[in-house]
Amino acid sequence: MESQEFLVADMVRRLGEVVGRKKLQKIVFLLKSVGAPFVERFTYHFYGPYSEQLADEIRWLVGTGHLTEVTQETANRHVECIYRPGEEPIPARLPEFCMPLAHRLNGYDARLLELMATIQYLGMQGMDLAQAGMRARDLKPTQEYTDQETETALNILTGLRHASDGAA
Amino acid sequence: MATQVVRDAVHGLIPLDEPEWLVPLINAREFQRLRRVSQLGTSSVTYPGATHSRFSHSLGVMWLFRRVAQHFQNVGQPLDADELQVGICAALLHDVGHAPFSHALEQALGTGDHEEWTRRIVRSSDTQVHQVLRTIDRAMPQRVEEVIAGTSPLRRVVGLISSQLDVDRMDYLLRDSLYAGVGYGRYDLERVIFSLSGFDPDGMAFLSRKAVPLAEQYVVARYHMYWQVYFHKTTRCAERMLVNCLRLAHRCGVLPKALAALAAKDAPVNALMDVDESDITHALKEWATQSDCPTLRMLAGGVLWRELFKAVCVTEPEGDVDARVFDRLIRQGTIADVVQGKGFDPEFCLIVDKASDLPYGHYYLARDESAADKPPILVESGHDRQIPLERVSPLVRQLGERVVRGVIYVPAECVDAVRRVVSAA
Repeated sequence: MESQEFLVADMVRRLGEVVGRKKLQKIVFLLKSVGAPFVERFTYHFYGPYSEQLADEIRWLVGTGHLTEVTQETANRHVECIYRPGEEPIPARLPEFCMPLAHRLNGYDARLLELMATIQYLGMQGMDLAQAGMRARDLKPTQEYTDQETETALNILTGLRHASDGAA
Repeated sequence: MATQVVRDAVHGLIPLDEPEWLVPLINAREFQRLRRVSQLGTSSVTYPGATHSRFSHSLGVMWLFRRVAQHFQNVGQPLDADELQVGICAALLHDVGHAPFSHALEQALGTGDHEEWTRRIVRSSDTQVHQVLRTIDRAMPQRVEEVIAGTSPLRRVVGLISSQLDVDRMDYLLRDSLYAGVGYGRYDLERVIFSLSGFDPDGMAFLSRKAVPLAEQYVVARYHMYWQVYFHKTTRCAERMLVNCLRLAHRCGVLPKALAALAAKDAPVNALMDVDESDITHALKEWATQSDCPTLRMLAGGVLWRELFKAVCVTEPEGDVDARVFDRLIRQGTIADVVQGKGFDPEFCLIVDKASDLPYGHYYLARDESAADKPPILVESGHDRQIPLERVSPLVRQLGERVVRGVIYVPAECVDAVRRVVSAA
């Protein structure tokens, strides 16, 4: 494993805990999109940008003791995964400017992160943010995102871009 | 009666008369190049019959898309003309950006992934594919590109071309199984198509409730094909040796002109059009016999003459080495020291391979928690509702976790010494 592939483990270590596989995927994508040095490749899938490579790495990091993954039942009787630091030392460190953003993103729920990541991905394909917001809702009819959620996502994304510009 | 047909080993006769732009699209040079790109890369070192091309697979995917569309027409849920046109084009062209030994070349030379190349070929006005698409509709290149990228608003088309029950997978399981000469990938295609009942609000096709055993067979077929064919240890070794061979040749500055052009930053779209498997084979022959670099000679000859490295350490459950031990052996450089001590350059002669697959991305976990990148296979549950296959299939539920296998390969001369180190760890 290249040292950059341990960055996700370092991020979890410094966040303390990330609840949800989707959440972890979307946080890494959004951080990468604003300049964090993650190397994983993301493509668009049904639930937004997703990295098969990252999913593999997380599985490997759990298997090798760099991360732990436990599952718990939610109120609606689904199961969710919780990622916490493992006991193995992590030979990589995420740059400092990423961590305030990572903490912020970790405070949002997976549903909003999915919308934000989708808009960001479409924006990176050449759409302006407003157009990307509309297309994201077209792509996810059953999620039934509201105007308010879309506006919130757009505002957060604009803030993220400014924050990363300032940090850089 | 069709006058233009191809005879396909999997699907029999495939008529090409309609739509009228289909034959010109197939005749585009970018698509014809796929005749010289094998579907399974280095798999023929393990399964000698597995030399079929991405050309035949792409035709098969296009044909299955049409058959599925015809089925939905028959059951009163037709795709509209627009979906049909875009879908046929996208099905045919979904792999047009594959380089020879695609994944090896991507890793070794950083040539970019095949999906991005596919999109570039469709988008670029310099390609014949683009020009034919424009004759259908000025916006067709962009619309096909969006389907391939997964961001198209035509969700039914996206789902039929890229999901856990898509025409790509339906074709490659049968085709790869046939040519590899293994039975693992077989399933009842006719009955699967017949059992498609409709689309959910997200545009995902779903199956009738009676089709659960068929869907199980299909999922298990995929599971076995991945571990028995695609991730076969010998095949993976050959591919990783090829990666190292190309990396070393690149570093030594001896890549043939066409490959060097493809490896260049911002390579133009025709750089890919100039490369097929004959370029790689020719280069391997030259390096294996004429290179001044002994490591390059060994790697090239190894791939060419099937003189492959040996697997010495395999993680559980397939092997008996704990993943933590495996990881420490690599990170602490213990095995690299052994390989170097035997006179080999560990950067190129120690191969650490990790193969990973998610046999079935299920939603037994909450929707937000899925390990999957694709929606579940859906089956009817009455009252116009659909439920994920895993809810009614304990068998499929068992296949919902990602599996990662680590393997270390070294030259035959290092095997005993490395095994001693692994045993002592």
